[in-house]
Amino acid sequence: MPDLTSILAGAANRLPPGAAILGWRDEDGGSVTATAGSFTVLSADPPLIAVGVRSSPDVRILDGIGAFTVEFHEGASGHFECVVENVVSAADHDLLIGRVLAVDLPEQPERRPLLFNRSDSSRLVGHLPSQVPLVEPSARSRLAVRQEVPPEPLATIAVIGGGASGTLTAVQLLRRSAPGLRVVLIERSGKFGPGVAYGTEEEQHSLNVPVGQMIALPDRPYDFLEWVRREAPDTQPQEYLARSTFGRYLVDLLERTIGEADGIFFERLTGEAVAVEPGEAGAPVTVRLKDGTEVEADRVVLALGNGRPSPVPGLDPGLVESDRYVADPWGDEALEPALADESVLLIGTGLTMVDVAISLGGAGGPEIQAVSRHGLLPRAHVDTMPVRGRPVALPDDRCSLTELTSRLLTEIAVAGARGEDWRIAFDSLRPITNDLWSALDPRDRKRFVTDLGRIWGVHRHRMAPRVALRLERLKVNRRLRVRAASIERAALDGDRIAVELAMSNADVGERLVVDRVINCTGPTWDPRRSDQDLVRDLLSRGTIRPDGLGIGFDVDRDGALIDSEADASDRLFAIGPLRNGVLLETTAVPEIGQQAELLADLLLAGLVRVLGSSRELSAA
Amino acid sequence: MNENTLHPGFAPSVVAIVGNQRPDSRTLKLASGIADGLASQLGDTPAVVIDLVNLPLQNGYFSPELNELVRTAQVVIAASPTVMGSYSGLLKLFLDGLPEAALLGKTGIPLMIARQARHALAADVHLRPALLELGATCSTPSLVALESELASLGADGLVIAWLERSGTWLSGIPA
Repeated sequence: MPDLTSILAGAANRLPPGAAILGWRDEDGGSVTATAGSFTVLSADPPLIAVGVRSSPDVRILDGIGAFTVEFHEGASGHFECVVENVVSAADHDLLIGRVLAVDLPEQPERRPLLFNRSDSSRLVGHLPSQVPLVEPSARSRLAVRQEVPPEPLATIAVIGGGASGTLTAVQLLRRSAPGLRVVLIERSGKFGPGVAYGTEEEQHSLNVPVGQMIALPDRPYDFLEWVRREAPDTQPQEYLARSTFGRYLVDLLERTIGEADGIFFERLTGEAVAVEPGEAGAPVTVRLKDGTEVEADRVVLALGNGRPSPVPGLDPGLVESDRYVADPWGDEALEPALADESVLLIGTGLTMVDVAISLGGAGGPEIQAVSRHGLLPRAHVDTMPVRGRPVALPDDRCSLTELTSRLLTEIAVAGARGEDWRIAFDSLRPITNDLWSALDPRDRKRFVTDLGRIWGVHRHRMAPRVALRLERLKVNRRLRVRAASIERAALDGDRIAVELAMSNADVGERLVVDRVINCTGPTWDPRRSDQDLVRDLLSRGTIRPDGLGIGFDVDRDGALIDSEADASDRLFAIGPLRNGVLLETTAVPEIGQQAELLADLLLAGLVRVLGSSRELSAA
Repeated sequence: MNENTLHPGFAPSVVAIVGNQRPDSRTLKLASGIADGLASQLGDTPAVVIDLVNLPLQNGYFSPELNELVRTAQVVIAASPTVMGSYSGLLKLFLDGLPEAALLGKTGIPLMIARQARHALAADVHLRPALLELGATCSTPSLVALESELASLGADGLVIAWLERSGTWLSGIPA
């Protein structure tokens, strides 16, 4: 079977500069077609096409939807299946650049190509992104200039943490470095790739982002989708898959990248890093493991993933010490014993609680009570392709919290009156959230965290539709009860736990008797509260300090750790959730993937005198 | 709960409604400043400023979902320039669309810009009765920005001057 590149080159030869019909599904699942006055094959490798279409809200919506087809022959055959790579605004037209995932060429090449003709186009029905089998994507681009591989590593970068953020950092280093780099990925569990977040075996634990938006590699946004489609060709970009699928993808991505990274020395090291000794300026950093192993590295990246939940006030120390209290539901088999309980109390009502309730909510599981101050559950995604609108606010000089909330709420109210979805207004801020966040003054950031964080969170960090459905079923069947309350006191009482609740909306208390209390308040990263030896070590040396809000490590724009003297390190960096206080969005894969790419470039640029310049990535 | 609306959990304590026909007006600037200042004195929730200019109408009124934002507020600031000796029709249109007694139990604060000294009482003569009619308690002085004050203090300066006096009014605002 010829590869996509040659198919595309052949197709380009047959194409006059002509017209095409675009087809896609709108957010309600209906089909939309548009006529393109110009259509051209832009590049064979990577396979890109460009179509010019008159600017319309539809095209902007298409940008958010992602998948479309281009029909270029008369009749219902002869089309490309594409995903949006970019939309360039060009006066009254938009230039839509699509990455071709599949090509369907008609049998008879003499069939008439589509030329622009208004009267004709009305009877053509655009193809919809469908079941066209995926053509094997072109092999990853090779080194432009093969450099000689040195016999010994020239420089070492140690990445502490082998979950999603650590793995993506390692992958970008492997892809980008010139030969001679040594990458040491250190992971205490011995499982490299999925980490805690994507290591869950539970098929019910769903990704909270549709597959088309799980962008791990910013320069190959559809790598995950393409990977999934090798096994399941019918997978649509708007589907929500199990988290374990993404975990397996990370494992495979790491394997693939190692296999292709000629001349890079890669090591997996199983063990828990307990100390990082920066040493003298210019000398290597020493990473010490619990078993005494030492790794000397020129740069160290902390990819510690999510922190443990904060302690909950009101719990009796006797309960906290006992096995009736689960301090971290993500610990190994932490939920096993609760399955046999009669009733459990979950503290917190966010996405962590949702996961735990779904794990425990199977047949024969306990009766579940969940409480939080607001009693608010995450909102659900709608079961259609995501739509991205024009941002309701921009990070300009008027960017204050009042301005932002006013614009957002007004926009949502108006959208509601038009029968549109509030999610569009909310999601319009997604790509610029961190810019807006850094434009706010510190007082506004603090106000946001104390007052609006929760309400923002439930709208922004939504549940996949099928998860929402399952949760609703648990509620209807009285297996799950969610309330707005805080815990006045909870203590062991015989072989059960007596809980006194203070209801948030009424001046009354309530008593509960449960068999287990599970902290589902969600991950935080105040380094002062951490019980990890490594974090304690870093804090005691003054190598790290908490950010101003106490929800992450203090870092500069590039992710360099800021020490107790307010100096940014040139050798120690953090990625992912650790950056939480400095960035608002730093826990989801698209953001972490971007950070990994930027960080890898920064680290390699710093080592350029030792390693030589980075390899060219031609698949831009 | 309607799938198309936000959670009711967001409850701004201070809402300002701005009825000026021009976008980015000085009325907006004054109202945002005072709303933000009052909100931070009342707690951590940011104020919400509804700038009526360019908001679409539905059956001749503004979106009823905007009324929802007013419903939870403790303090409602109604802001307008002087138009034809009174407050603007744009603001009137919004107030007319509110349900009966929509401001019951809330503190209403009239805010107006007076081009000329003879308009200084428009806030008290025209706007205050409208807020009272909707059930608001108007226990504070009206905020009137005279053109001469705006020229000497600037909008920010005037807001600061207002906020310096606001401690006394806030003691009169029911919690």
